[in-house]
Amino acid sequence: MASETEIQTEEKAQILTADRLSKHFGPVKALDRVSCSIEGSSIFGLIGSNGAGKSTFLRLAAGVYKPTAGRMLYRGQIVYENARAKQEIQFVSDQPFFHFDTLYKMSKFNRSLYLGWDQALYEELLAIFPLGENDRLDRMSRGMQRQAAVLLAIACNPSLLLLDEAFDGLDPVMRQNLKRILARQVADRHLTVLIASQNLRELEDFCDHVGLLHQGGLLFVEELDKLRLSIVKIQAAFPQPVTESHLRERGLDILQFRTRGSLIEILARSSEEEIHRVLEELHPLLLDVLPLSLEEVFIYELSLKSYAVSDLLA
Amino acid sequence: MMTAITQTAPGLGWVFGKSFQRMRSLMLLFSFLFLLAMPIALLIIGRDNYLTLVSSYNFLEPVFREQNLNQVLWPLHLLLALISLVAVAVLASAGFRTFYLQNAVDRESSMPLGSNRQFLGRALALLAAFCFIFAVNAAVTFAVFAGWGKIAHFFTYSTAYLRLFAATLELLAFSLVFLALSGTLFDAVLTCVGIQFAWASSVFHILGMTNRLTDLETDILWLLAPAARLFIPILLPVSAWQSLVMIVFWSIMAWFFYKKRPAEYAGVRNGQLPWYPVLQPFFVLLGGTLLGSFVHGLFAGEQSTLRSPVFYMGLVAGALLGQVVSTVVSGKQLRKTKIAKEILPILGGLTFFALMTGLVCLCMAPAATPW
Repeated sequence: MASETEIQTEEKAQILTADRLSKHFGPVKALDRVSCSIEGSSIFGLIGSNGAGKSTFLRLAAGVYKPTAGRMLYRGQIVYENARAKQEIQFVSDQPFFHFDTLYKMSKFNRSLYLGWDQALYEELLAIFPLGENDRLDRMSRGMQRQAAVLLAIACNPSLLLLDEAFDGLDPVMRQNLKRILARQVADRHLTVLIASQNLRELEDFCDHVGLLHQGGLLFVEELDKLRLSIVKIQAAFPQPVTESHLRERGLDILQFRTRGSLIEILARSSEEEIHRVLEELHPLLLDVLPLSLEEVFIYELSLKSYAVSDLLA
Repeated sequence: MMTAITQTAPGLGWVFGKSFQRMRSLMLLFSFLFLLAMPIALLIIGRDNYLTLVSSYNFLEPVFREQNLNQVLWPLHLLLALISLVAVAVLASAGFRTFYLQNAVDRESSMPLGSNRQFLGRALALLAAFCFIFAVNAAVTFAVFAGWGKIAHFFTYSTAYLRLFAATLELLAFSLVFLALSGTLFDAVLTCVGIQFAWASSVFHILGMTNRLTDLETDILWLLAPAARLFIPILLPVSAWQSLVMIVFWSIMAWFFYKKRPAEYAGVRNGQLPWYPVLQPFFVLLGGTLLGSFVHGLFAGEQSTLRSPVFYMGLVAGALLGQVVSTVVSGKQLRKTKIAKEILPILGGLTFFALMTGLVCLCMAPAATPW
């Protein structure tokens, strides 16, 4: 019998792997040799503007599309035409489709199809989501239809949940609810979530990892905490003039150095402790760490790669 | 992570059950229409009237006897054929409608069911629906004839009825090919109807201009126009074995195209799909033969068609027209197409015409009198 540690290790192993994955639609290269791995029991955010290839990536992960080249693997097996793998994968597209007209009928449909269907979980989620089980799905708003689709998907007890623009159309309360529900599923049931969005702000307090897609290529994959901790934004004032070269000589990796009168704004690739240590030596009059949004982190990371970020992000 | 698995994974039976359930109400509707067209109509006519009508019109009797029909049954059988035609279009469309919506394709392709099972389940559900419709109608019609003491009439008729059933299944299998190939339901129906019309019309024109006879029983004429086989047996014998062979052939083709069909076809007009130019020569052929015959009839009707330059001018003009119309109707934008790509189907269609005319002249006997 596997120990708890072994089970956890297995759960955390690479659940989804894209291996030089390409998908072409005629002359259009929607994805071009994308390689990445997604750990189990985590939430992975796939960011990109319209046409970046996010939905295509999700459809390849769900086994909807056949890759033009390369492979998409779920637990080491090719996803496409793999009914066993699809028992553990749920895909909620940006426009959900329902075979039947009420949530009740859809729950019966899913129960007959998915071996992992959890009726107790379904009823628990039904109490949280403001949806009537016998209300007509086709008469619901887009946001409510999306809620219904997510509810049905989670109740199937998948190992991998693929969400395409899941928060679009949801009110702020429902967004928070959904994030809480997903986080709990990840913690309690070792669910892995791959969520595609144009909106960085929506995902920054929610994801463990983020990847940035642009024109079919994966520019960037990073752990969110590492990303945030790796760059620090400081506002300081010094009794004596301080220049960028002074700070570089003291070993700081300065990404941006701006002066506004006597105030200096510094963006550095460093830990907070390190930058504090270095700046304290200069006896600052003022030293504040400013909050840095994920978008700003992306901007600076990508500017190093000479990308105009306004082209990449919504 | 996963709850204990006590049930078996869903398979062919699941797909069949769900597909059959979805088309149940349509199946019952067409069953009712069948009943209305045959046994209920017979009851309305009444036993005495039926027997009077069957015995009185001698000038028609020999023809219908050969086709296992009689003066009363042949118009009712014609009605059944018409209803079968509509039933194939409606039920097949209902069974495969989710092919053409991207969000439905996303859902179904991500379900834990292989494509073989998804296709077979749906196809078997359609087969079961038509078996139900025909079986119920046959049972009730038998009951009517049995009640009249004329069971022999029913058994005589049953040959024509079985031919109709085989022709219906052939048309269904043929339709499945276009449902599997097409990106929208509209294009699937249009292409299916268009190909049949184009083929039958073109062949008729070629037979006419070459003054050839057609042997409708075994003619390849109906290979690409199975809808006609619903009606031809009313007047002339048509091989039931041909229907059976073609049912198998079209079913295998449909399955093959379904397997190859990428999910991204959903919602895309046929004109934008890579295989469409392969079908365009049929429409080129139709346009060419129609316009060529028309122009020939207008300006050079006294000449033999194949020796008339006017015919060939009409043929080429009609071929171009057929290509343009089939391009526009299929959703391909003319201004975005490359001229070279449009020329190939035109040349293909004209070559098709030449080959067919040559084959007809070589393989068929001239008619005793010109058409």
